[in-house]
Amino acid sequence: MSKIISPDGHIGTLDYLKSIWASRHLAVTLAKGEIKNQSSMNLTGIFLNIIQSLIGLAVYWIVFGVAIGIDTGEISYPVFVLPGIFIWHYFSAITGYCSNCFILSQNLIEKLYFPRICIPLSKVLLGLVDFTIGFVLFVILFIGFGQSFTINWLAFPIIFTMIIICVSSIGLCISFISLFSMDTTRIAAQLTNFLIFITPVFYPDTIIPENFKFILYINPVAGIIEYSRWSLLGAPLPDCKYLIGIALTICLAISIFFIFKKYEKRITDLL
Amino acid sequence: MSPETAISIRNLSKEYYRAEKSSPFSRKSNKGTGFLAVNDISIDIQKGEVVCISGHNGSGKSTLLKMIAEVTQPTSGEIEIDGKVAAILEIGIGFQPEISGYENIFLSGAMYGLKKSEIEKKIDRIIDMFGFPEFINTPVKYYSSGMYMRLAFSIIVNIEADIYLFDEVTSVGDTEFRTKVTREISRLKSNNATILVVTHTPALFSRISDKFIIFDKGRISISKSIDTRNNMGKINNLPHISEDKLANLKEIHQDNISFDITDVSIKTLAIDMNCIFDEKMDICTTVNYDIDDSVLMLMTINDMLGNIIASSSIEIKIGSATSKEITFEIPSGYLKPSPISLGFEILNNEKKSLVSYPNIISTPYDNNDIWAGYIKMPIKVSER
Repeated sequence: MSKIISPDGHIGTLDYLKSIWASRHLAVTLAKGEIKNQSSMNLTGIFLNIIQSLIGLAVYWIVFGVAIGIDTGEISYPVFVLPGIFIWHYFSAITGYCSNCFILSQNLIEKLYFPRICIPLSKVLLGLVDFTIGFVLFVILFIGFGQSFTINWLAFPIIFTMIIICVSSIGLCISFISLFSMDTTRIAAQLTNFLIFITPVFYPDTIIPENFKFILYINPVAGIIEYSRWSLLGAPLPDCKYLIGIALTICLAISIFFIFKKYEKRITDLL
Repeated sequence: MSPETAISIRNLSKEYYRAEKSSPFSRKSNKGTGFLAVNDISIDIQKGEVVCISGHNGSGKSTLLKMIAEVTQPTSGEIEIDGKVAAILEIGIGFQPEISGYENIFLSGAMYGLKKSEIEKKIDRIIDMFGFPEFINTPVKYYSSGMYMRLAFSIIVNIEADIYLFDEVTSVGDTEFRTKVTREISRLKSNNATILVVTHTPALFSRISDKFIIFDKGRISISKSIDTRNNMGKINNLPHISEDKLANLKEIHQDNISFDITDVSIKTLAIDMNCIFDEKMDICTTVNYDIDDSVLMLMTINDMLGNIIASSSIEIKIGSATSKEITFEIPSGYLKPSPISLGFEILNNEKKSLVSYPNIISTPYDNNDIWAGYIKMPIKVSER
């Protein structure tokens, strides 16, 4: 069994998928190492994340729930807003991590070969820690505020899969762009700050006028948040136009996969 | 490719672009000029061989290893590899500073492709090799750099592969660590592994290497197999002074001296450095100078680690002459066959080094029995 290394660097799709699967442990190890490293650095560790989420929740509750008084129907505001917060937080965290992941792992990339796609994917795993904390917090609040579970909860695994696909493709895109421009980190941070306002994170989509709603429809995160509200809170099924954003994400996921496949061997030299 | 070949490299080249920093506002795209880090190399490495690769900084040794390790892609040519490759281009990959040595063994091991169960099987051996079991639960950021290296090295020698690539693993660490490295490499060799070692101290590996490759400007300048059973003075490859070295010699101007060595030649019957061990040898130099004060010209015989074994000097006084021919005569019968090199040094009156030209000319690495020593000393051995 011999292997040939040649300049064209072409990899078959199946071989590429196999090599990613073979290095799954590596992606998990990278994420694990970083989690351990982070959590051992400060004593508060995991509690800091919970406190952060709670403070964010309290601020949104006071500003949007109490002061502005956004109408969320029968669901009390903190329960309504929490799924939006932890899903949005996941997206913005991954955007941040992926915008400089290749630069931070430059040493590793120059010294070891593994499918480069593992680096942004390990960041997706890393973000799952906060996501899980947010979800557990949500379940506690959900029961605390006396909400009852509905059959729609069974659909959450599908939505969760969508979240992972969407987060991964956005993360991969950002990390790929960062190979060409050092400004990506700053631009990504600015964009996430701005995009939160055109995503129904702390308001229901019903308050958006009909002729502006197209912005939400093409926004994949908006669709995901709306569908998760439907699933977790029993809100009415969102407009099927939200599927546009989700379809766009799937297209993005497939194309970014092939772009990575094409550039796989060249990433070291691009850095 | 024959079944005995582990790595077959054919016409391999790698081009890099020397990017030049330009203003962010300038329009013209500046890709820089290309240069070949590795230039059309072809070589076959047999299974079970230990190959020692040496050469100057930037001569393309590491680039070659990176291409074999698939870290970077060749520009042209092909590499065919038979077997599992463990590329140790740096030791301590994947270490996280905040967590304990024990956990880092698992993290780093996973980076090199070791499974958790494999590491668990070898964990005692790794900790034993590390040598500081009482520190194994301490975060590695508190380790001394030597301890860090030892832990990292203990992990990598436990990787199982058919082909190992080591890039300057001996450049750090104390002598004990270095001998440990060579011992481990010879252990791997006895398991019939193919090993490529990039090093600046080839003398360390002289006993276990089967082949030496010396890189110069992206090309293989010397490649030789060593017949370990009979290696004394067999090779008649004439060492020569490469042209860029001579060019360097001519370009020395420092403070108030201008000194240049135009020519170094070794006058013996055959111009063969190997003869230095058996015959009287004249080393002739032609020097041109323009000096304000008298200087000392020193000729040194160095080993491959740069230590001076022997030296001799001559004073050059201010006078009307601006050019001289100076001959150093090295008598026969003092040196043992070992890898050595000659160098020159110009010192001022206070014995401060003004200019030095180390390693102007060296013996091939082939006649190497460094462990036997450098000097023929009549030591008497007796028994009672």
